[in-house]
Amino acid sequence: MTTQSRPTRRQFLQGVGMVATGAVIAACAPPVAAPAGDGGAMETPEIWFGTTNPCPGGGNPERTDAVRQLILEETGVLVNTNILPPGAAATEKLNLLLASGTQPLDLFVGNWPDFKGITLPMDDLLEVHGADILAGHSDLDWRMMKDFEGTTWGYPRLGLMGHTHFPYFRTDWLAEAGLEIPDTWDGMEHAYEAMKENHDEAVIVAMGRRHLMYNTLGAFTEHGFSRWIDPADNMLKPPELQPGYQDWLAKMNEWWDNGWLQRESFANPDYRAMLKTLTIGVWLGWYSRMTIWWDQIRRDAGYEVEDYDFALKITGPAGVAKTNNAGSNSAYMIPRKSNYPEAVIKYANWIYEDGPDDVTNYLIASWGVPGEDWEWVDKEGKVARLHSAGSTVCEEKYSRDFQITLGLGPETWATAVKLQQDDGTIEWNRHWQHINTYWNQYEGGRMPVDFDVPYDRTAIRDAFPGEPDFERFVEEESIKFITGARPIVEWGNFVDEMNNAGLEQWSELYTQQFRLYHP
Amino acid sequence: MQQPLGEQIRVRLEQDAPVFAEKKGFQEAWRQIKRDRFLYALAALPLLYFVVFRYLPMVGLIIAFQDYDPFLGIGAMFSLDNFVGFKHFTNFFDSIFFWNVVRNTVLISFYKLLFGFPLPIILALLINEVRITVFQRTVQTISYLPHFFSMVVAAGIVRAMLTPQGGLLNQAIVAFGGEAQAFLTDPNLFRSILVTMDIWQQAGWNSIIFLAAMATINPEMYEAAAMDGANRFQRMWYVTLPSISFAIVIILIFRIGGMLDAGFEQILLLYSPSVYSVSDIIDTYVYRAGLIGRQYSFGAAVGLFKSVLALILMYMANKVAQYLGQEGLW
Repeated sequence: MTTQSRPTRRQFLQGVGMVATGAVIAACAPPVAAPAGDGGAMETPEIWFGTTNPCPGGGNPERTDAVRQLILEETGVLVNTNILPPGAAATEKLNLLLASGTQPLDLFVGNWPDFKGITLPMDDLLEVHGADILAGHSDLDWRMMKDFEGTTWGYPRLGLMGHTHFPYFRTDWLAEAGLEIPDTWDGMEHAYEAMKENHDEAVIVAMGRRHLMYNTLGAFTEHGFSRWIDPADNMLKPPELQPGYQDWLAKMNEWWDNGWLQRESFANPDYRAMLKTLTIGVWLGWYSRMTIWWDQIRRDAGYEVEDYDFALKITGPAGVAKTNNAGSNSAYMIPRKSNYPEAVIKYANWIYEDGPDDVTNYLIASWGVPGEDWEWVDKEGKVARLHSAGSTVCEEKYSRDFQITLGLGPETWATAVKLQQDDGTIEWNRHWQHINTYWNQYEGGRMPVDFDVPYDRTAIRDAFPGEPDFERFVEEESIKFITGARPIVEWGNFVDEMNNAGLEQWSELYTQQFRLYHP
Repeated sequence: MQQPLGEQIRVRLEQDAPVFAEKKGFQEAWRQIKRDRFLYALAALPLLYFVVFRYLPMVGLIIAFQDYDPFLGIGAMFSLDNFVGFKHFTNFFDSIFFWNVVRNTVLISFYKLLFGFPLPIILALLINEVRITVFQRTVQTISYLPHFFSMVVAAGIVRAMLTPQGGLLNQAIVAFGGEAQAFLTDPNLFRSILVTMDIWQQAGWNSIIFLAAMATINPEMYEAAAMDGANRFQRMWYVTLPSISFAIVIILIFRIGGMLDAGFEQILLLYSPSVYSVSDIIDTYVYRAGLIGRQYSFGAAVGLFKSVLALILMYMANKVAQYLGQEGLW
């Protein structure tokens, strides 16, 4: 017979306390850092991306793992993702990841000058491991990735784009009024008035002032939505000080007063919900809201007649209304704390490999494992078939977790791919067709004066800490002029206020950098 | 009748005080800690929380006086090379938005205090007067409910209500022959919307503490007042309100101390360029400059400025309360 001693209440409480304390300490302890990699033969480099994802919570874990395994087999690199939340929170999360000493991060997206000092120069890495990446972009693309000394700080994400801004019109309403897509400013206004006559609810929607300027400012100014050289002092000035900008403001104010501009056009509303209301007569925003969002809404709702189409070129009193999108110096960058920078470039280069003729690797990173998530129907003819419908929920599909070549390059090449539908028909996705056709069509818009200057805005901000406030002030006041909160007769005061807010300093700093590239 | 716990503790501490004064020994202190170990254990985790999450991070305030690069690690925080003195404070004071964000912060907080502070008291007084328990509890539940909505959900509800594209309020306006309005982009209405939303979300919840204070009022006082011929309103005015005045003052001091917290999440979720001029507060400015613009040192400097102001406000409120014969916080 054995004697079993039961723990006393004190012993029990002590035990519970120790376990709880241990759990707290374990939970608070930083994860074991990955050993610094030297690319040793036996070590599998594990890299982490910081990217956004159409599925904020990621896709199906099993499908994601299958893609990870395929990439490992193909490249010898183990890939992972820190999914960033959508919207402005992405920047917040990214900054925290970058500042974190414990969370791994090997690749992220942003305007490279903002991160100079915490990212690795990429020249040597590209030269050794990135031949296909180098070949996949134009000289202009690469120029935008380099500082004035010629050091490359990333590989291109976005560059000069011709496809991002077009005015879209509700085609069934136009047809009802017996009108075609207009090609002049007056024609555009007439088209809208005709729509409004038949449909009182019809509105013009602008996705904020920036997109409105991309779409329309060129109709009233020489340079459109662009900084410009003022011949009076040969200095670079903000777009708002161009001759003609006041006329544009007055016109926009007229639209506002007439009730044409949707009242939330400057308030970041839910544009998807707005599209569903079928009240938008003219859309002056970012193209993909039409090519992706609207297209999905139209399909889901089964609309046969209701649709939108865009004007290739609108000409106003001062010329072409649209300004091409210089796309900034948005780049994929490697943080200095990365343990495996070579592996990052090696993997990215694999996606670029064999492009633009063969985009299989890009599609693996985007769609998943060939034969399981998708398959080629006609590889030569660039026809593929997805195994899951576009409407498949995130939990059931691979969701682009390891896609690190969006924007220019492979994504642009992949837009040539058409999809075979379940009924056997072959369809060219509206979004991809749009990009493929227009991404390098620049003649329909004005070219920004400084489209080829990779401004180092961090340096500008260091020299002029009030620069973000200055930009914000101009934005805020301009919107007041449009909405009538500030009458246009106060324009002179506004210019004085701009001067007080640091216009001269702004102009000097931007001109200084502009002159480095345009002596 | 058993004394309340707080009173018991106070009496116990008073009893112990002379013992401490006489012995002053570590052993005696240790003896008492051992004696009250469960009370100390109870306080340990909250204390740890405050030390770890409230006091230790204050070390980080040093970056307000530096050009700190967080990507260089915590070690860089203690390097004298980065020291820039009051540069970031000066930059903030020189900002064209300085007076605007300070004015907005104070005004929005003031409006919230002005309209949002008395309402929970009134609500508590009214609920306290309700004699039908079912009705009383239903009102309480309904008024507490919005407090439990996350700010994102609450802001979503407000947006959905107010949007000119099919919003509930605008639908009603249009149904009555009016024209749909963009309430959230109207600078004249935006602050009112913030205050109204704040009252809707918090009035019920904030009334709890006043209801609790009312529960401690001796019923005999009401009986005596009734015998003296006081009607219900007079009882409310002369018995209930004076009896909960201590709670009102303490909550008011807290509210004034937190006056510069004008509702960061709420504003961030609802504002837009059209209403920046009336809605941009110190916290949204810090968020943009610090977390979005990566000007961490600048953001820390602005945040520190705000905290110092808040401390001064709280100190002043406490002094005023004491001057008016109330107990105050310290």
